[in-house]
Amino acid sequence: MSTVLIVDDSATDRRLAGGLLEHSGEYDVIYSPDGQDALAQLELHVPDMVVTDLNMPEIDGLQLTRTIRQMYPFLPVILMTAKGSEDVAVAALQVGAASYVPKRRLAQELLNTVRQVLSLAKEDRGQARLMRRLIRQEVEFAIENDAELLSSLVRFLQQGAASRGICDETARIRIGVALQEALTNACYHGNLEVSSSLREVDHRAFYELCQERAVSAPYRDRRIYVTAKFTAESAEYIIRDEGPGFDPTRLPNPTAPENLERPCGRGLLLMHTFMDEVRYNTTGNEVSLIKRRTPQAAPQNGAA
Amino acid sequence: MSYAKIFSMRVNGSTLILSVHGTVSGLGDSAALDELDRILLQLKDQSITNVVVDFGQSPYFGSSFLETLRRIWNDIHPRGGHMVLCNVSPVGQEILEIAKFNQLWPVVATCDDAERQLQSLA
Repeated sequence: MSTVLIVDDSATDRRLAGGLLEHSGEYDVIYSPDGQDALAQLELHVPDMVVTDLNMPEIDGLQLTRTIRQMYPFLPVILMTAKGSEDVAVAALQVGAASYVPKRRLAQELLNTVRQVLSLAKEDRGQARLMRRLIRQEVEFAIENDAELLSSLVRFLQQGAASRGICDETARIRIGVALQEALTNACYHGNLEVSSSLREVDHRAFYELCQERAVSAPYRDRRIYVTAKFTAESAEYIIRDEGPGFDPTRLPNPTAPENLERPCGRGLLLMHTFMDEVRYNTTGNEVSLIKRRTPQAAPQNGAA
Repeated sequence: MSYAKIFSMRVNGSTLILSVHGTVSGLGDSAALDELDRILLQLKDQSITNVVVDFGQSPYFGSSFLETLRRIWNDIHPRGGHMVLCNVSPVGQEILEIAKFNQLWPVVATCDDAERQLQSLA
C-alpha cells in the first residue's frame, strides 16, 4: 500500500485531506503539522507522495516543494491551495510540484489527483532506473512535411530525454515547445519555403500556399532529417531541412515594441530560451538544440 | 456552445469566450485555419467587442498559436475591444512573457477574473 504524507498546519484540513485518502482504503496516511516536521519525517522514512498545504508558517509549501525536489527528486508533491493563492500555486508548479488541488475542491479532486500522480510516478521510477544505465543512444528519422507526424516525433523526442532522467517535467515541456518550433520552421519555412510575412498579410493565403506546396514538386519531396543523441548528461537534437536555409541573425527582434504585433522570430526566441544551446549551420538549414541534465533530475538517495 | 478540435466558443453579452483544448500543435493544422475563420466570422458580429481565452485545458502552446491569438486581437483591437487570457499554465505564462504578449493581453487566474478585468477596462 502506498504511503502519503499530509502536511498542513490546520488540523482540520489535515484530517479532511487524510480522511479522503484513508477512506479509499488505498493509502496509508501519515501527518505532519508543518514543513520543518515534514522534512524531519522524510529523513526517517520516505513516503510515496507528499500532499502539502501552500500557506504554512516558517517553511511554506513552496519552499517545501523546492527542498523535496532537490533532496528527493522522485518523490511527487501535490499542493493544496486556498482561494486567492493561485499565483503561488503556479510558482510551485514551476519549482516542481506534480499538481495542485484547490482546497474548496478537495472532496471532488484529491483522490483522483493522487491516483493519477502516483501511477505516473511509479511508471516513471522503474523506467528511469533502467534508462540511467544507458550510456549512449542515437536515433535518426527522415520525415515528410506532415504536421501530425511531426507532433508525434516531438512527443517521442521529449520522452527520450525524460525517460533518461535528463529533464524534469517542466524541462520536458520546454523541450517539447522548442522542438515543435524547430520542426515547424524546418517544415514551413525550410522545406515549403513559405514566409511568415505572408501570414502577417493574409493568414488564409499562408495556409493555402503551405497546402499547395506540400503536394507540389520540388517541395513535397523534401524531408526533415532529425538526429537525437542521448547520453547520461544531455540530449542533443539536430534538425535539418532541404530548403535553401536562412540567416537567423537577420530576423527582427520579436520583443521590440514595434514588432510585438508582427509574426516574426518568436519561435527562435522560444528555442533559445528553453534549450541550453541552439546553433545553426552556416547555410541556415540545420539547427542543433542541446538540453543538459537538469540538477533536480539527477539520481539521488539510492533511487538509482 | 460549439465544439471543434482546438476551440470551443460561447458568447456572453459582448464577450466571446474561447476555450482552448489540448496542446496546440503545429502551424499546418488545417483545423486551426478553419477554426480561426469561424472565430473571425463570429467576431463580425459588431456587438462582440471582447474576447476571453481560457487555457484551462491546454498545458502549453507555441508561436503558431500565438499568431492565431494575434490575428484575433488584430480584429477586435481597432474596434476598441480587449482580450484577456485566463487559466494559463506556468509554461504558458512563461511563453507569453518571453514573447512579451503579456504586455498586450492581461493574464489573469480565472474566467471570473477575466470578466472582472474586462469590466474594469470598459
